[in-house]
Amino acid sequence: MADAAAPVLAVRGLAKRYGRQVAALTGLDLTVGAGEVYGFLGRNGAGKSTTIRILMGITKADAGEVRLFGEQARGTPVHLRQRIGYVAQEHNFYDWMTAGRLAKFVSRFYPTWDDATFLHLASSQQVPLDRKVGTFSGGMKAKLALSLALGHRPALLILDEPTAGLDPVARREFLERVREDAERTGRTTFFSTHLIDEVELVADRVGIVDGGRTRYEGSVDALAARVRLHKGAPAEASPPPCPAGVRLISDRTFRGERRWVFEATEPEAFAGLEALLGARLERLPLEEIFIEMVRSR
Amino acid sequence: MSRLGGLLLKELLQHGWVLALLGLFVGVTQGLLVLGSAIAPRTITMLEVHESFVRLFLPLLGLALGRRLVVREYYAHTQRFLAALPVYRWEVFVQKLGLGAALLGLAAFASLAVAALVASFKEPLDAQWLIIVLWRTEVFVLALWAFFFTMGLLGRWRVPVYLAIAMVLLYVNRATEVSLSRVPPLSLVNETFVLERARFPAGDLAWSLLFVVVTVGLGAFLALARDGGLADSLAQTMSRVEKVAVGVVLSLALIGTSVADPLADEPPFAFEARRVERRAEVGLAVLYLEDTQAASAAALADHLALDLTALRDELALHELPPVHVALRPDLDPHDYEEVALEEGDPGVLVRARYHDEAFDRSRFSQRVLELAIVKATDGRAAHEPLAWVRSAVAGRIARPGTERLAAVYAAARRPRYEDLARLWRTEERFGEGVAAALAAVAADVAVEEASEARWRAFARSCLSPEPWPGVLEAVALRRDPVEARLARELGVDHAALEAAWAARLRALRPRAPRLPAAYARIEEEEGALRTVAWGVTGATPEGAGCALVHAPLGPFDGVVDPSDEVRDERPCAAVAGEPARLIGRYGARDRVLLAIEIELDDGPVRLLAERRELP
Repeated sequence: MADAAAPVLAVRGLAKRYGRQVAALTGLDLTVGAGEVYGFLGRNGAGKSTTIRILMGITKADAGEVRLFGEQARGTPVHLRQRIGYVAQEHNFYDWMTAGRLAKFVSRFYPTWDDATFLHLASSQQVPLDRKVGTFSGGMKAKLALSLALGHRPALLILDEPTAGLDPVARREFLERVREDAERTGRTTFFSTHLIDEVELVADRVGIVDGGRTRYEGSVDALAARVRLHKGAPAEASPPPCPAGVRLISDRTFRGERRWVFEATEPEAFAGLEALLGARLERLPLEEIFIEMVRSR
Repeated sequence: MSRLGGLLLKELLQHGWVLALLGLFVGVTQGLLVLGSAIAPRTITMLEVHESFVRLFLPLLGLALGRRLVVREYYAHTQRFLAALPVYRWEVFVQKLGLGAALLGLAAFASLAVAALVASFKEPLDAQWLIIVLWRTEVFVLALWAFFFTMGLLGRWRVPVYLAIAMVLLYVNRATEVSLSRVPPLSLVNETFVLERARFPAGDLAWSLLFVVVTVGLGAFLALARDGGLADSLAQTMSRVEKVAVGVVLSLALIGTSVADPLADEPPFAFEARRVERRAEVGLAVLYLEDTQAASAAALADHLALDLTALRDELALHELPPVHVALRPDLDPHDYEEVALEEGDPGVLVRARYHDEAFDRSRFSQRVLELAIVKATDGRAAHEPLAWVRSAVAGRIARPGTERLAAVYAAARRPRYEDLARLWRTEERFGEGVAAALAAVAADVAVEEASEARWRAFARSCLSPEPWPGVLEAVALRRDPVEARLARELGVDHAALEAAWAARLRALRPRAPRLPAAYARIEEEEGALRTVAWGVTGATPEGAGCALVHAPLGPFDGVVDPSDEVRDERPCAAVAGEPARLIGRYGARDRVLLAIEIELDDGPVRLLAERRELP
């Protein structure tokens, strides 16, 4: 049963193993609200693609719950998939089809397909509709994929590392198009990446996945405020005891000085620690935070 | 349009031109098959066109479709694109399975329809028979497609698996007693495929459908298990290590089967017993069982050696096929049992009760010479229109002076060359002895009109051991028919020769023996079984035997295998008054051959031969 007030996407305790050796997901949680642009950040092999494949019904989860549009979505039935636009990491299109023919083919699977929307998107990105897809560059294929994904005016757009393999200009153009679409239509957008700048450029909220679990979920600003660095302590110094609400997530020696990275549940919690250390804690760029968080595991 | 419709349209767009080319290919091959069958002398029924199509071209079509619909999708990884669309994986599976089955089924149906249409102009067809062929065809199509479809899902392993299956089947066929043509689904298209018109092969169909279910189940497992990841990973390119491993395993298997092949060094058939009369100069061996039979064996060996030597000279053969004759005491002295040796064995084996006083060495020799000619010509001489030349050559050597038998024919009908050219029909109507006598008279006339040397040249041209180019045999005969060779080699106009032959036969009429008339009546019983009442009227030779020869008729009113003919022998005197009865052997609407023979000193003569549909 759909719940109107429910988040567009909610995942609880998602687990997936490949064979006995590989645990791709070990209890992932995430929530994406309506109209949000959600950056799903993680290293290669962190479980991002597996999560998206489960959301799209391509792969089945071993355990956990997925709710889409407030509806239980085990295996993601076709009627739910018809409300999702999906851009895969690899573009396995039929090379023998022209872009126009491909759009015709795809349109048959979506009751809400809108030719005008597709044509507008394709033409605004200079996608040649009469050329065979096999002759397209990687960047052109990505643009075509985005046009196809949005052609049926989906309520949720899912992008799985969509800029992988694109040159910097094409990458930037693609991300701007996604952001612009989200702002213009208010469409909920969920995209995975391992590139921090993409998250900073596009996302309202971020989820960091590592080792198959969610390490952080929240706004980008909140994440920046929750992690601080202390450096300059002698190499032989020991880390200070952490006050309540603060934990040490990284302790390394770099160029002869100790570097301690702390994570707090609330930024105010750092005040006690600063008093203890007798020094101000530094803010970190998002990339540093991400690296410290996933390296601390 | 539904999702399935969208997928279907995609397949048709993607493979449309290939399907069109395949359709053209099917049309052309079907046309060639129709043409070949129409002119081939061995064609029993025009439905053999359909048989050739199903056995040869349908598997090729299945292979091509499997490659297009399955292999190509997985190798291009476009199934991943489909998986991301709002369509269930099983829908894609079912659509491809259904489309391939429908296309192959349609091609097979079209083939049957064309063959039946052509056949309807020259042969009687019946609905039950066509339904049986249709069932066999379509279930075989399902099995074929299930196999190729599932093989396509094996990805990079499918070619090694094809090779492995082929090797296993070849080995089983060669090294064991298992006959693959008896194993469903292959049994659906075995030698009875288009000939069986009465028995519905329910068992074979059921087993074949089980094969379909199991194979499709395996295909579904490959395509759907692990969220489709199994077939996806199988479609990856083969690594170098895998290639080497496959090469090594297949090479070892090939070497292994060659080493273990029990037939690889199998020598030609030979008698190993001690009691054998041999005539090495003509490759003859006559087996006897007890020392008391040695004299009979030696006498037969001498007789056959002379005739075989004459045959070798007549046809200028370097080597005769080895001839093996075995004694079989439980046979009738007038009957011979021809035994099929292993395929590729160069010899012939015949069993006979040759030590019996009633045994006729000349008749037996004629049969042996004919078998040797058939073997020497790689089977060509077994068939019309060469059959009469074979019979004439053998008859003139082994059994001269059979004019009295030829007179039986001359007394019954106006001589026509067609009765020689279609010797099977003449044999069926008058008996083998009469047919052979007709051929011998034709040869005698040819010698008189031309010369012995020219007749010999003609015989050598027809019965040369030089192989004709296999599949073009029918074309070769069409381009250079026997009649043309007759005129060319003898230097005598064919019409003049036929006229001389007919005149000779008419002159023989007074020598025809007085024969009784024969009859075969069908007596209707309650229920479906019928009784055949048969007998002769008029004077019969003292002590002569009569026989009812009967056999079920295959498609187009022919006896499929001569061994189907059954003889019910009685003294002629016993059937001259009261008829003899064959009770309950056949049922209403069965078509049967009913022939009545009388045994003369010269051999059996058919008094009557009819193809009857029982009321």
